[in-house]
Amino acid sequence: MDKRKEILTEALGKLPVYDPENSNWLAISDELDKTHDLLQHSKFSQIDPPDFIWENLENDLNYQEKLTELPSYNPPSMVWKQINKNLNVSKEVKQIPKQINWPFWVTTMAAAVLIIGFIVFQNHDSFNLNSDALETVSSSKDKHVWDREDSEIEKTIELICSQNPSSCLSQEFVKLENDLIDLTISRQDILSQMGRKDTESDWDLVLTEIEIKRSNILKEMIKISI
Amino acid sequence: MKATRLYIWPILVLLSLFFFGKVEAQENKNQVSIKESYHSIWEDNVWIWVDANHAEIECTSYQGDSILIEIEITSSHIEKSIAANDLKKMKVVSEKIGSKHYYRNYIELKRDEEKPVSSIQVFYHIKVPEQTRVSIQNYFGDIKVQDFQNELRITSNYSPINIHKFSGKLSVESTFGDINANSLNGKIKIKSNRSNVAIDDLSGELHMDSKIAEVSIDNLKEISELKINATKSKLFLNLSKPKQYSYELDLEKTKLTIPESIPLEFTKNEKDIIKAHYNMKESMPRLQVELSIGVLTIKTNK
Repeated sequence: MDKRKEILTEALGKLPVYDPENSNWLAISDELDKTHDLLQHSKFSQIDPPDFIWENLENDLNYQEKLTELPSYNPPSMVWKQINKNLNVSKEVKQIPKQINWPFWVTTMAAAVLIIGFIVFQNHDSFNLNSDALETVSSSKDKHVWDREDSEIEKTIELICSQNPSSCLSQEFVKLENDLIDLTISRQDILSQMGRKDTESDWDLVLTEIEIKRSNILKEMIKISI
Repeated sequence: MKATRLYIWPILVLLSLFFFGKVEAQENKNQVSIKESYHSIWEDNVWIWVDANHAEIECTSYQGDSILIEIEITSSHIEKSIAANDLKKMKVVSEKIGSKHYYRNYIELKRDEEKPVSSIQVFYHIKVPEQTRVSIQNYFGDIKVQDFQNELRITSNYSPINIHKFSGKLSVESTFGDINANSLNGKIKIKSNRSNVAIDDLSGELHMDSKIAEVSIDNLKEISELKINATKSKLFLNLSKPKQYSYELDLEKTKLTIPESIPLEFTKNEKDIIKAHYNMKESMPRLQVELSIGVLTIKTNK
């Protein structure tokens, strides 16, 4: 076995060594250059896309353009606060295991019935018509007359809190602020209804009621801050 | 026994909280105050001008010849030194220019000085002879007028206004401050913005501009003219003898309720606009109402 290995090593040592000539290397280099040029200057055929492709592209661009032109509305800060509050509430709700608490729900339903009854009674009283009275009701879908009111309320709250910052943290103040937020949300709902539905409801009268209530709440807040 | 112990602990905790709260509530605040008094003898055409800030103002007139103005400022804080230091920041100024007497309070802060942290209360006691004219401006506070004659002007922001027994010429402008008045007689002008107005017992002439307000006028006596221009408001007029007046109504988007005993003549009765009148005689006292969005209710005292 060892003898065979020696013979093989000796034979390999006797093999001739060849070095290619320069002309061979030059020829290889030329071929590579030609391939590179061909790749660079090759002309591909041009194809016109069908019309619908252009239309789609144009529509897409117009859509993007229109999106940027859309007016943006900043909802009152109190609406964000309420959304935030609701999100927090929903988070809390998720954590509570589902368990039907019958006494709680029965009490809540009873309270809701009482509150709704009270509201209906109040509204009925305030809009009550005398049987011997002449009554004329007019309605409006023009919501623009209500645009300015929000900023007035927000500025006043800012002013109250800058005058007496500690009063704005009091429990009573926060409660009133929440009532105000609820009314503001109702107001926004009605304004959106006015824009969308062709109803004959007395939205203006309801909004007047809400505005007066918002003023009254704000006056309570002022009282606390003094 | 174990269960009883379990129930006792929350009760004890609640009781301790209750007593702790009581102790805290009983903690006395130190109060320091200054009082400035101004006396002067009434002269012809004298005007008292008060420019107040966060003040409770009481104003009255009497049958005398001395003008008495008292301005009192109190500062309250648990620490007396803080209360005293804050009181130093409160300034009172009085000045006479011609027939006008000016009184003013304000906060003066030196460089890097902070606003007062104490509870500050400012009181104005104004007592003037009946022939004196008074002008009051207030910003956050309270205004009370009692038994006043002659001329009074009030411009108020964020302050409720109470007037009891007034006779003469009255002009009130209020934003976010309800106006309650009883026994008004004379030439009355009211401008209210987000301020409810309640008047009981009115004689003379009333011109009112109101925006976002509940306005109620009760017990009308000898009225020469009542003119209301309102927006987004609810107006209630309670009349004892409705046929004694002439009516001129110009309403837009308004709910109108009026007794059948007043048969209005409509010059326009459309969905959103009502124009109507009744009893248009020059000899009759006129009730003129322009209302854009709201409720107008005219009722009779039966």
